[in-house]
Amino acid sequence: MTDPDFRNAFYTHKDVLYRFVYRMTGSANGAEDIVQECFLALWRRPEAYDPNRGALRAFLLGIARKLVLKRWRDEHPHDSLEEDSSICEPVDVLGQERAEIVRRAVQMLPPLQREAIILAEYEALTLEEIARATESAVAGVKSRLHRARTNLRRMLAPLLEEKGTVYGTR
Amino acid sequence: MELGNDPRLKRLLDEWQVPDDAPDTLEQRVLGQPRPWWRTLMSSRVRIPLPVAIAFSVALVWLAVLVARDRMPALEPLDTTYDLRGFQPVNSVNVRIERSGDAAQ
Repeated sequence: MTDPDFRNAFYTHKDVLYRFVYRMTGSANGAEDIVQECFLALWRRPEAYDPNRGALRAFLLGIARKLVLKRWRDEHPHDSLEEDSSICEPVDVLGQERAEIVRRAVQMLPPLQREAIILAEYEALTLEEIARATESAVAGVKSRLHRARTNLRRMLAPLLEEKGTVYGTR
Repeated sequence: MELGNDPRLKRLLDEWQVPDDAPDTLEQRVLGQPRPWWRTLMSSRVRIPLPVAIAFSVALVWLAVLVARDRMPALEPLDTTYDLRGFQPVNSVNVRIERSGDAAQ
């Protein structure tokens, strides 16, 4: 990979990677660190990317997710990544901004559900692209998305059920 | 997207926004800033094996000595022999003795 190729890849994909990691970790500084590591990994081993296996965006998102999950495992050594292990409770909406409530709800999802919902909802990736980035089967991604939506509906039920009423302050 | 099946949930999720663009500091961290050539030159390093460094140092000292010797002014050897060819002895010698008192007058 030449220097211009690398710069082009950086300018094309830095924002989507940053938003994804920011939403996964909830930390601006953490997102910056991880995105930097992603591009360093690409610079050191450009041959790891095979264009025949998908777009560069999915490849870079795959690196980013591995780094996010590694960090999550380091911080939660006793928790499981698996989505079946968690049934989320409704969040307390009193005295909180709606955006903050949504942020907390998404952050409370198990990591594999969280990455699926972020890539699908916020980054508008197709199921196939998510499957490629997460090295999963499309059916598995569908299943995670379904569980993520079910959990989010449960957690955000107070906001979804209201009719014109806003909980908390806005 | 599948989430389109539930527009209420989609609208609610859209309320959580994060910055659209990565911060500028990321660009500096990944690509770095262009550096002036002299700073690049000053911070450049070259690794060479120790024997090569020693040989190079010895050669440098030897060269310096040679140059210094070339630049030193050549000393004429002292001529310790006397050649009396062409010597013309004076024909007459008048000896006059002057005393210090004579010089004062």
